[in-house]
Amino acid sequence: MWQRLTLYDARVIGHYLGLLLIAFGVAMLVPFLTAVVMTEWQVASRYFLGVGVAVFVGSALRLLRIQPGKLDRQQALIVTGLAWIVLAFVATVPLYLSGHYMTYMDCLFDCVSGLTTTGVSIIVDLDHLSTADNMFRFVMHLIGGLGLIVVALSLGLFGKGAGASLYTSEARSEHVVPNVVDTAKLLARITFFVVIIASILIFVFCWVMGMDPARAGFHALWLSITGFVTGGFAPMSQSVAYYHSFPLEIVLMLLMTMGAVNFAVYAEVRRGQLKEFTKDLEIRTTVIWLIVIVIVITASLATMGIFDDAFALIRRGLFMVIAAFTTTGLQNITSDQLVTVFSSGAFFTLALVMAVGGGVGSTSGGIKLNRIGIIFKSAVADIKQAVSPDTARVSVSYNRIGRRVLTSEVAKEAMTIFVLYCATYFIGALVGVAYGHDAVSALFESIAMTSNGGLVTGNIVSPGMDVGLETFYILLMWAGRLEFLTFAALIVKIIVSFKPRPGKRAIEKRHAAFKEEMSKMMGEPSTEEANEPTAVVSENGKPGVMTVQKVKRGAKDVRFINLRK
Amino acid sequence: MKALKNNKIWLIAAVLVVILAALAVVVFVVIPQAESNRQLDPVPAVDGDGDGEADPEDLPVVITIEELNTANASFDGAYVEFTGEVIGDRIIENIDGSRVWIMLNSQRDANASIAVVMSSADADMIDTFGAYGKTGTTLRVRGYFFVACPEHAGGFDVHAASVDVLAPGSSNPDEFDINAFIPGAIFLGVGILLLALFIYIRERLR
Repeated sequence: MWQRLTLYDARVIGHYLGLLLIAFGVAMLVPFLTAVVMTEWQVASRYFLGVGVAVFVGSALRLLRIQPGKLDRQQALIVTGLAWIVLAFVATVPLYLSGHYMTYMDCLFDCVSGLTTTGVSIIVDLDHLSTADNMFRFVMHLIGGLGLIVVALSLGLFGKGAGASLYTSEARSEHVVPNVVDTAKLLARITFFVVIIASILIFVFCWVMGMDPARAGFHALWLSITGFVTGGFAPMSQSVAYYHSFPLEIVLMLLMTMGAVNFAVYAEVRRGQLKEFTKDLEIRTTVIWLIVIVIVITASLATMGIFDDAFALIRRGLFMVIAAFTTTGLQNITSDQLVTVFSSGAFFTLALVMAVGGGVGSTSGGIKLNRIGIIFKSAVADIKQAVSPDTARVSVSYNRIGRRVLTSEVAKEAMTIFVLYCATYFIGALVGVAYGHDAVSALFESIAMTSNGGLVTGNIVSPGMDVGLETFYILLMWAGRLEFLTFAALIVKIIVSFKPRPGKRAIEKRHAAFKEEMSKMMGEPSTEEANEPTAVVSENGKPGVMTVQKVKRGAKDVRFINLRK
Repeated sequence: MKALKNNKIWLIAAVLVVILAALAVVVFVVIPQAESNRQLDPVPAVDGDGDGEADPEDLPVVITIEELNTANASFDGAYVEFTGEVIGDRIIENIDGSRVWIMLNSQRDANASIAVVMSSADADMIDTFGAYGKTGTTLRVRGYFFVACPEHAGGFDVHAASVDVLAPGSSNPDEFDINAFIPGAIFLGVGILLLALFIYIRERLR
């Protein structure tokens, strides 16, 4: 039985969405202040409007329910699911007014891409974009990469006793420390620490390369954010290729890889449990997976004979593999090189790597290597069981922050997500094909959207693209970021809630049919008696009247308890 | 075998994997590389004497940055001429700083750009680098185009042989206009009032 959303649910959800919107408005002060410092006055006025709209809508929504109480699991799912799109709509206010988008949908696409850390951008003339607008794009990456709910929890917006349902509804399951609020705070601390260290390092590179110190500082911060949260936006249209710097690419490769590792592993390493890092199933799967992929892609590129030396091949190939595997989507080659210089085999390998993605509990998207490892282990268990005597019980364990036994529930969950991702990749490709695009690009783009990978060929995803396909891609990014379950729950809830209730006549008809059925089964009621109405108090403290009615049906006495306010 | 038979989910997964593999074979093996067979017209003039230098007898192909951005491998090494607006930064190419990287944007399609490596002396002619509120110097560049540059680890670039300034850059800084902030102030003001109302009602209910 699907449960409808009640008006009370809607008011509570509205209240918490309003809270998130006000917090998002506060986050918009960062680009606003950047604009003021850089004397970009037109831009500052846009962000001032953005802050105003966020605070206005947020405050209005909060008034829907003054004392909302704690969110239950269902409400938490809806808040998390809706937050991504509601915030994206508010984010379009300052960005669309910049005049850098051909259509409003292009702007919404970019905002969803920024928040979900997909990193595909269909902005026009990025190289002339203001510093503040760029800052906002990376603020969205930072918030979205950590997770809207994680940020809100770490800021204490949901209170100290916020439930775990909120945390898990955002495709996070690892509790680094027992309390979700403390876990969220720890995740935020790790991110800020890494981003600051990386920013200093990249600033030095950019400055030495001859960039103006102010620009070097901004670019360093933005690249650090996009690298660690595996975002994909870049401040220049040529992405990382703009900098022509191998040391910078090495730092970014390290950052992206760190961002694709489960944050819970960092917490263990921080506690001195280095063994957890080397024993972790996901880390081991990642190492094997990367070795295989790098060999395949290097061999594939070598056969093309376009890259003259091994260094060129490894520099371009390795960076692209890391960018795809971590679902970051940064590029040290141009889109044209991706489709002309890269062989079809290398192109396919990148799509596969992007589809699989990084680690569970990290900022990367895709199916996740932990699930691939679990599915592989489960297959091994099944084969072992098949070749063992009937009486033997095969038990397989794996290492994930301690030794765990592989249960059928864990394997089933991994398989469900795997199947959902694969199905969505294909559905996305079919939709692209239906819009008249070639199959290769359609599949590649579908994987890039669903896995939040962000590497695109540029043949389909471009400014002014088909609105229908653009809307579909927005849904793919949204669903992929929430790993489908929260998204599916949200869609089901909305459909069920808006499904028209049966009319009065239909209800009366059903009652009559039910009565007739009952009469046939038990015979006509012979005697009826009711006691005097008694005053009662309900669980929530509201007074009411209770009447107990006794009805004799055949040989049985049936009691009906009527409660009225 | 029971475990394998009972687990229907494995069957679904196996079917999906087979479909994935079949589709991959069709898409990536059967379909020829039509994408990479695009031809540009006219056929590029290449370095006549093969010395890698721009000689007076080498006639460049006049091309746009958009066309360069979609060029295929057969265009590698072509001697080309194009114009574009300088954007971004002057990035040092080698340690002594004698050569620099300059990014040129197409003036027709703002999303098309190309990296050009040129001498420091040529780059000194640039008066403005395009950015927000700034239009960069317009340059005409003649040089060799590489789809995967052998000198720069497979980069997508042009090695400039000659550079001319067609138009100087310009700067259009934002003017401060208080009226532009009024819509934001109205929204923010009403929003703060609503927030105050919320806090008031909440405190009354306690």
